Amino acid sequence: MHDQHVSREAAEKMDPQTVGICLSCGRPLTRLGPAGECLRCLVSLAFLSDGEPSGKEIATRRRAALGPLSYAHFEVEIGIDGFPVELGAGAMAVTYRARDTILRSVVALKVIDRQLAENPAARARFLREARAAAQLHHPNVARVTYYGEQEGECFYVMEFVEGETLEERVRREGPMPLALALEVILQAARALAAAEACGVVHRDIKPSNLMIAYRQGEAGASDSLLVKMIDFGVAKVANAGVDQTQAGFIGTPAFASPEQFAGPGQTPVDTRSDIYSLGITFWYLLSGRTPFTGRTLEEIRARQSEEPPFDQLKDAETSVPAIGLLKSMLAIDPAARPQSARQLLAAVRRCCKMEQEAPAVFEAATRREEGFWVAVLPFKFSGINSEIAVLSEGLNEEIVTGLSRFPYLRVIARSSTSRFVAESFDVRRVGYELGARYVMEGSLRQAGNKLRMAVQLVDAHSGTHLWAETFDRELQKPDIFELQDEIADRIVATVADVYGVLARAIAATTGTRAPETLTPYEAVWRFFLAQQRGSAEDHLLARIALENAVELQPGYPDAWAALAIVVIDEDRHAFNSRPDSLYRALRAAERAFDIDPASLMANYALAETQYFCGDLGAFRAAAERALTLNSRCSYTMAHLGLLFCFSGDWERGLRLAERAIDLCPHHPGWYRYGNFFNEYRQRHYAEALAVHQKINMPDFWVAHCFAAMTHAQLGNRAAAQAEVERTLHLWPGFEQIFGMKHLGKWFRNQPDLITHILEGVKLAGFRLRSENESC
Amino acid sequence: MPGTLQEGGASFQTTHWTLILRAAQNESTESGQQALSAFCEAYWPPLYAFLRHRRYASTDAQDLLQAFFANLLTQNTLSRADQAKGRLRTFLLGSLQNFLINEHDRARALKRGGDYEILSFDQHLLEAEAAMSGTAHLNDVSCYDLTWASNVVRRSWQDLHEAIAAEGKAKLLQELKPFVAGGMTNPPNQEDVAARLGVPIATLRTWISRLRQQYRDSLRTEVARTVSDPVDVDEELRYLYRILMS
Repeated sequence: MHDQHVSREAAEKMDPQTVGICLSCGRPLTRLGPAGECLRCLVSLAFLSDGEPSGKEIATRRRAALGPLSYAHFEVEIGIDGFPVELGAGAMAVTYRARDTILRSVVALKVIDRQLAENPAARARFLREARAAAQLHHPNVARVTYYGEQEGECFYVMEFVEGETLEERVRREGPMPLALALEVILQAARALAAAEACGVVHRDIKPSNLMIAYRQGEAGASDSLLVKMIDFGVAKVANAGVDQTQAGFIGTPAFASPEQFAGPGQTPVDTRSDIYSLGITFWYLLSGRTPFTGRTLEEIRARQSEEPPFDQLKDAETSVPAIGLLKSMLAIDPAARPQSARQLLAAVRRCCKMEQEAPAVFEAATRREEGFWVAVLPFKFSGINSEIAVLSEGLNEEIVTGLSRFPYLRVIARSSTSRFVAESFDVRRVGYELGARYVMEGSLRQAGNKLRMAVQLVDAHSGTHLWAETFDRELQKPDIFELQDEIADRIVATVADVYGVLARAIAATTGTRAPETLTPYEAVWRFFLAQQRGSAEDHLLARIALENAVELQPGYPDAWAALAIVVIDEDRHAFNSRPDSLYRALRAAERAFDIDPASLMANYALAETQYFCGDLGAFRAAAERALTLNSRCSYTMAHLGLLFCFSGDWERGLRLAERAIDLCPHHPGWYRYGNFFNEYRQRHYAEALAVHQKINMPDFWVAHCFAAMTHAQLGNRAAAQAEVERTLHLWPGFEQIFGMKHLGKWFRNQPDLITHILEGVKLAGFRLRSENESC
Repeated sequence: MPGTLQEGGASFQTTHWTLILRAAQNESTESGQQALSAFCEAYWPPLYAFLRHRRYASTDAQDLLQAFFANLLTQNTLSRADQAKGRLRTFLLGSLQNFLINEHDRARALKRGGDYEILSFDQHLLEAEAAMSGTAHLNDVSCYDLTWASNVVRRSWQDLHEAIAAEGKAKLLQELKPFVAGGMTNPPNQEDVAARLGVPIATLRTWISRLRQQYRDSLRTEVARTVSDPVDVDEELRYLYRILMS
């Protein structure tokens, strides 16, 4: 809401999506100057000696002073642009494509950073690496063939692998099918076994250090996969007895093992550490992401001690044996992992074998790790009336069905919960057995013709109550189904609605995580959290999460639908504005609808976007479909009700608002805006004010603006003035933005009402910009 | 730890500090006011990025910064820090962190911020916000450093731009820029440009080289303003380089 006064051109310029590659230095253009300059090119100029001829020194400045790049009898290849061909650059070395001038073959040449080479300790480490890697002769390891020192620099030469790294592969093609990923891990395990035999620990296993080689000269090369482990860049010669404790942290944090974090001397870093890193790599191949992310080393370290977030693998092709293998590789205690590369190899082979036999399943254990599943246990009952058993059964069924209509909830089927009937149980244990994070249980008691039903929702993880309610009703025979519907309505809406207790509890769990670490499913929850909180900041975080989500899982309709709403909020609430919001929102909503025309969220998003695009016919059609799909979702009902009112169909809109308010006791105050404007437009200002007092949203600028306008119409000058001040405090740019155009986005076909609102707003004392008063 | 005062207070005798101290003393004069607002304008974006990373809402971050700068200038923190050695980058972040800790009553600080109009955010607020979405993966201090580095490099480029334009050479700069500043457009062929400008290619190369040299000087000048001891310039430059390259 604060950002609306900045120009669209600036937004366009700064949109990270429009950023590409710098054509001078070849790096991503993420740091831009005022006119699209590459800040990396600019800052590099500070290190150039005078008068050098071209802009590409940035990547090669270290070498530029050296003249022709020749190391012993190896010559670095020069690309068509006149610069050395770089294969990779790490923290302390650069790898080039080079030619062996004697054997006339292509090699990879790794040169240690000149500054580092001056340090005898670093040079010694580099030599150790080279020696370690040279001991390894294995088809799955890129071999080291030469080491040299020259004019203060040191370098080694290794086998050149024609192919791409696993990281490049996953980035290009997305996550791998399980069978392929297992094959990769099998070959990598072979490489580790060879390294183990030579007493070498890699210490930096990650997708960018594993290459898929293209086998030359073989037909059907795609079938014959060859994995090569490269860059024993931080390898340690375990048996050499060389003290490396001063090296501090070595490796790549997202792929590092807990013992690598633990620091020198605490836990030995051996092959089991590589097994852990290979486990993370396996995870990455299956999901395209790493399980433990964080902004700092400490955060990553803390996450490692938690259970791996298996819900990330929900969309990956996975299986019980594969999950078991992952779990053993990722055990936090090295003693719980395969103890040697040989053991790992055996475990991977076993997994491959079982894979061919076992079907892919996703059971309680995985549900448990996802942390979002809901179980409704059969209700206990006591009483003499046989009706009560029917009622108990019916209520249970109705609630499970009702919850399932909310596409974002994962509800465990009744067939799994039925075995807990009439048992005395501990909710936490039941939750564990079912893999449910949230458990609903309840009881019905009868005394005479009185019925008392008690229901509670428990977080099985902590054992705490999220919600409990008691319903007292008269039990009369002909009314039994009516009674069942009424109670089920109330329970389902109170719990499952976006503003309900369960939805709030689940959404809150996503609020503390960085948006780009969320799974697509969690991203939708992050969206709900933003809806519940209604701040520009949450809006931005939800947008990041959702943009990430649709990229990761483009077939997920709810993520597209949520993205559509987020994008439309850029326009209608001026949250984090960007150009072409309406168009992009509509595209996202249509995408959601195309994927699943029966999705509640897709239809809802389509209705909202069509409304703001001005197509009222399409709005009504989509809105009616959404309302039919779930008659207990107060969230869609209230939003759509408001739009029906604002489109001039007050009768339909007010009915929906009334039902929404009735359904969800935790509804936010804005549900009543239909009623408010209905009174206001009829000039029933006292009634409008009475409605407004129930709205009670002290941090919402709109609320204060409309209160000011109503007070002004009633002649309460002081009250109006106070509300004006509050509005301007919450939104200093209000007077610049508010007006005909802004109202015209919301109110369709109602010029009189818009004029009437503007009249009240001016009467209250707002000084609107004159051009905002006309269309 | 980088980014805290433990790295060592600050003294910037010949640099922006001198300016600021002088300005704080002559707050009423027009030139004093100008220097003050120039200082705040120059250094708010990284501080703003830091606060937004700490999950302050945009308006709250703006108010806090108004109060922070007001506090910095009126409490004479600057002259107290004058004895020690350090960098403006770490000094400002450390001061802001202290300010946040000491302002027990955050609501009061926020409210007070509304009283000050030391700097105007309007012009670059969206850029600052847009930059946020690209730095969501960083922690607050890294985000501050990155915004700081970008800010220094951008500003020195802008300064050079203005200086050259003031000499009436804006058009020539447009021709030479692609050879120096990178970006999304392919660097043009030097021979074509030389022909277009009607000069021998050797002359063009000299001009390009000169522009690079000028930018280098501009960047060094900008960085020199933020360190207390001229010998720190190279180290600070290397630090900025590392941040931007990562």
